[in-house]
Amino acid sequence: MSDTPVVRILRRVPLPFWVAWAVLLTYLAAGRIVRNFFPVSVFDMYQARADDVSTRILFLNDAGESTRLSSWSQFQCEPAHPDFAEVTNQCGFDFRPIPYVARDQQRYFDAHQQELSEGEAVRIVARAYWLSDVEGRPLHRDCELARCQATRAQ
Amino acid sequence: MTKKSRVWSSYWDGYPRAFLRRSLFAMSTFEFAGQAYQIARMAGDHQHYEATGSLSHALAPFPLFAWVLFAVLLVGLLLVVTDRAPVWGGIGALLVMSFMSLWQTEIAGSPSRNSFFVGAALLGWTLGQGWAQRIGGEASSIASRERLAEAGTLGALAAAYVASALSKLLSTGLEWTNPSQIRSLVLAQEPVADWAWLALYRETLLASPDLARGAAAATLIVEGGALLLLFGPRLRLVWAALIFGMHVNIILLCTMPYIEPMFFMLTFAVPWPFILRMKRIDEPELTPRIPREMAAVLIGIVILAACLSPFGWRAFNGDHPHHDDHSSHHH
Repeated sequence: MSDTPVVRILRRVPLPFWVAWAVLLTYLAAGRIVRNFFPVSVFDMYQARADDVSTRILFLNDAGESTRLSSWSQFQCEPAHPDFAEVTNQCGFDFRPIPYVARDQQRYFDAHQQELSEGEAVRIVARAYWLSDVEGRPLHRDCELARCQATRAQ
Repeated sequence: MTKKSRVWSSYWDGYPRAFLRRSLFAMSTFEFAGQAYQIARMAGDHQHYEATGSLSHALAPFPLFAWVLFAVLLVGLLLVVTDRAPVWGGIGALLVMSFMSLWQTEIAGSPSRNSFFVGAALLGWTLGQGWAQRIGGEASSIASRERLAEAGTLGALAAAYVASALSKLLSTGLEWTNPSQIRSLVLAQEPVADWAWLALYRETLLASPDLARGAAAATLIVEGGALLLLFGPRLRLVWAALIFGMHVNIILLCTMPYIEPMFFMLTFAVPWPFILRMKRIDEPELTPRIPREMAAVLIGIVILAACLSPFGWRAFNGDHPHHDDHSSHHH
């Protein structure tokens, strides 16, 4: 390199700085081109504008309190095999749970089904929330998927 | 001895970086043992997961092949952690990881971005090592190689967060800070536990559009500001803490455990040499230089990305374009 002022300034910048920024720029450029190909990614999860309706599958107890599916360890339900992938078909277009979340919940549900002689009465519902710019809890509507006897996880 | 620079320095300057190398090995091993387990389980569970591409179809009868891949990967990682062949070991490990990622993506429907953080870190480490090797002379000592490897890793990790912020801004602009963005995600995911204080925190966020808007803006600032990881150690520590805090919130509210980048923030930004009272070592001064081969490698990565572009996984290819990852419930 000829000894121009720019080169003299660049020479004062430590080599690790060059390396870090060269890797950063390469990774960013490659990512914008290929989008997601290991190990390069644009990390575009949840990049699009969110819907104003959001749905999740959850358990409701007799008092109407909502809990996570994983708060319960054993279920016996009617219908015995609710299909969480069919929630939108069953409940309507507003009820659209995130597919991978519903699939993980289905796996959990399927793995914990068994005959129970006693347990708490609970309902599995798909709950759709409507979001707005108004202060306060989002309004919601439930669509029942199954009625169950269930025991709590320890 | 290394001179202090105003532009770049690290708590690790003048100290051995074996801790960083072992941390990278430990997280890579942990992550891809988990990946192998997930692939083997999903490939054998035809009730919940279906093969969607030629790779997953071909390997459908052999779910345990995922563990064979992991064993090969482990050889590459061992070459890195023992410093026997840090560059070729890293390249080999990245190739096997890439194959596992393709297989996992075909079965699960979307890639596990958790593992991409590990891949990015290993890529940065390997590029830094290669850079020092190409310069040769004193730069090829382990102290100098790992000094550049640390820099490369930080560059790749910063790029991951900046890429995430850019994706959001290029997709929706500042509209991403709308009050539904964060609340929609929180409502669609399960909180990590049924704790009363967490329920209160969640309710407060859900009931306040202004708070939700602020949380979305803070997300963009923390992610985009990851560039600040690439200057001095104090600024790096502060920004790593902010990134760490962002992930803690995501875990609490959405059960999406991005423990990989959290681990790297802890290992690369915290002043461990002082905390662990490490012994100082001599570190040769390095002349700033881009070896021609390294310039070719970096440009080659971008060209390779262009060639692989048709095979890269893209968001917006499902019914729910804003929900395109499967990172929760991973570990």
